[in-house]
Amino acid sequence: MRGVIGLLLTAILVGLVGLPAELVAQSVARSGNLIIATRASAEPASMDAHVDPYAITWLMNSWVADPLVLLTADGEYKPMLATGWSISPNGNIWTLRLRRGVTFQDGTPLTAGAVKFNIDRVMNPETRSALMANYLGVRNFQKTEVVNESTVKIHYSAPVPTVLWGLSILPIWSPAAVQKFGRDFHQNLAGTGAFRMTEWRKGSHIRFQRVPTYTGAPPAQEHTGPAYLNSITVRFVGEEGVLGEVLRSGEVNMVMELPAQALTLYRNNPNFQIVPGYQPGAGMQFVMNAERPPLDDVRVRRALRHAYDQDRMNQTLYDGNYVAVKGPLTKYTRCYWKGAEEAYRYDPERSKVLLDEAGWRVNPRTSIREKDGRPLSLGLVTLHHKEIAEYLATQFRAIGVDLRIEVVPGPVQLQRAQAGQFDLMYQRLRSFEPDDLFSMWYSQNNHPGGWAWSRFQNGTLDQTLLRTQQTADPKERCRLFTEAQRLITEFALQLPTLDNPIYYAMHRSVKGFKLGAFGAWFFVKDMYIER
Amino acid sequence: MLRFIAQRLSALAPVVLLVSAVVFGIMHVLPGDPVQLMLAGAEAGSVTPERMTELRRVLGLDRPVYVQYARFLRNALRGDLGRSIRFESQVSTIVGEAAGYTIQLGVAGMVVALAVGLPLGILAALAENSWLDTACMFVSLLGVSMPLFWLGHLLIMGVAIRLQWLPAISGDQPIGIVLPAVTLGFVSAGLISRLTRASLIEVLRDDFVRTARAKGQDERVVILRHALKNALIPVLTVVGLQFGGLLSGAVVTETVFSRPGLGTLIVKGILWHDYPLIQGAVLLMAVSYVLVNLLVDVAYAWLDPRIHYA
Repeated sequence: MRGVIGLLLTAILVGLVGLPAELVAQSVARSGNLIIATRASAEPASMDAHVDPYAITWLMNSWVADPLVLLTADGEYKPMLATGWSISPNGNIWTLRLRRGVTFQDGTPLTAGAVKFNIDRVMNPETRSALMANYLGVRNFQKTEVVNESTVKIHYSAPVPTVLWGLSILPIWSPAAVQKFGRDFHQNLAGTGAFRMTEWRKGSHIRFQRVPTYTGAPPAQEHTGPAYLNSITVRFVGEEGVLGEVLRSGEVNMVMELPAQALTLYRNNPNFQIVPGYQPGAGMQFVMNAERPPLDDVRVRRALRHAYDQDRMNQTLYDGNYVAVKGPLTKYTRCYWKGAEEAYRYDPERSKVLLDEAGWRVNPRTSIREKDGRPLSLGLVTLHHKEIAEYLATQFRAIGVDLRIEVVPGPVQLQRAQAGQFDLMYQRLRSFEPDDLFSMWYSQNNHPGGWAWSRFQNGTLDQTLLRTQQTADPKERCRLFTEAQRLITEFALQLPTLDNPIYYAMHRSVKGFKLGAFGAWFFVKDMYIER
Repeated sequence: MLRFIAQRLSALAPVVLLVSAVVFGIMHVLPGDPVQLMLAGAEAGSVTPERMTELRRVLGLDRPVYVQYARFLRNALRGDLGRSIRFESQVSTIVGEAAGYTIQLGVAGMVVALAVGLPLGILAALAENSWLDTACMFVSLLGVSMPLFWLGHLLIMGVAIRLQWLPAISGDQPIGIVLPAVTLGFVSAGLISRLTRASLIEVLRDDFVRTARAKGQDERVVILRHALKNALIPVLTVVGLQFGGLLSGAVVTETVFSRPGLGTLIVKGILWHDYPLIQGAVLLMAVSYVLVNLLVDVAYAWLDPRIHYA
């Protein structure tokens, strides 16, 4: 009743000042407080995406700070704080034109100087920006130049193909706020976005409040003006079991990364809705150590590829709720090569023939293959999802291969990967662009901090991957990435398995949810809680 | 007494020094490099060796271990525990915030443990070998043998999800402390009740209790003023030790109930090889442990005037 009276009074007041009453009624009705629960391990260490390399930080930053470039749900780059951009003919200079009249949440204006400050900050080693600096091309970066109040140029020594991707997740912060708060800025964010971060209780939650003066417009949102939601609270939940239940208990109205085993609680229940967010990138794969026996023999590697079936694995382990990955990239990644799906059909007989050809004979006493008195025993190292490894072990045993499984923590995994102390190593990289392939398979990226763990060296593959980093032409890049996927598959350098989509579960009262171009991203400005 | 307290407090320094040296040593022996871990979180993009070297220099991790330790000690003496490698904030601030939550939980858990454990133990002792004794000891056995995480899940499923009486996500809300405190306290209550029962049964057979009864004193006075006060001395020792146990039990409870605190913070610190953070958190825990045990020793003298400290 109170709400109705409030609505009527607002309508009368608005009528008096001449604004359309239905517009105001809509803005009153479309509001609410969104409470999102997600896993505790997703809580960022730093809330500044210039520093922190996680997708959830980029996502929450996008609520506080608009980027220069918008990555739409369709995967297209559109103007946001930059009204347009151009690239010099040699691909080395990017010119960005900025929107005028935009102010940061601390009241200072958005200028070309502010953009230069942000880009230079990311490139400065003192900022410790590992990932964002890479996306923005730190290796080839020369300088940022302020042309005038609303134009800025980024100079590189060579083309950087991931600039737009980087600019689409780069929050543009208020230089004044960064300077004021110094190293504590990540707890006092000030951007140009639709929400302001008002509270961060570490280990508990982060809260955002709507900025009523925000002047948003399509295509970044469907309506014009401030976001509908009054507030967003992200709560961090320590236990998967609890995360699966809290939506039912009404403590939150949305769960991000709902565990797959909890899907049955909400599916076919009209009070809830579930949206899967499929992930681009590499999927959960086991990289083969191609440097040491027995996986230095391509016949053994190919035999393993024929020995299991990802679709059956998905059905057996996760009731089909995961996604089968059959090549170096998931099918939701740009420049995905479909040929990978047919390259290694499930064919255990073929596996046996290949192993026979490689000289590995079955010892009838142990049922494990041997060569020169040594059993065909492989060590698999993983971080989690042990059941996938166990499934593989069962399948491999059928072709006479013994698989020893080790579950280790992250630091041990990194140490083992870099020392080459493994046969099969779990590895999953995710990003919207297919440049993960360069990170994982370009042989010179086998160094501390690098991701080329297979230790495989091939001139053609290296050249193909290197060229992906030297051209900004999307078509040419796709051609090269497709070729790289074909080569990685042909050399059988990894065991692709599955990938888990990010499941978003919401109460039916949550409206306006829209997924981004990749599974870990969604747009909040059109969201509201229906009363 | 004051001299005793001063002596104990002066022993704090070597304890803290030893603990910090051991933790520092262990962290540097464990596999993994914090810089690599910081970048490993990147989930994409290779990082050049030059950038790693630069980052290592910025963090001071390129110096020999003893230099890093000496620098840590020097700064710690000035009250500066350094900045967390991972969390980009002052360690003292992060640890202080988390400690507040853990102490709240530890105290609330101890209140539950005493509120449940003492009456159960007293009841069982007074009704020795009766059905009431068996019932009380069955409850205490449940407490002793039930894993923390399991009890926590049961309470979440029953009280929070089905009945919806209390929140499943504890967070930092005042009401959110109830379920974690009950979980943590119930386990300690089991031990306290068993010890109280055994100790009280023994004391009730002492001559001074018989004398008090012979003097015609009210039974309540005999039990509460004479017997219980004497029976509590061994219980108090366990309460002191249990408080340390509550701090470690908080790791599980904080995780199950999604509650901030020192436990979850230390786990994150270890996983990320965040040396300054672990050092700060462990130092605080060591100091708390020593202080709680000092309090217990002081309480002995209050409970039993025959105990004197030279």
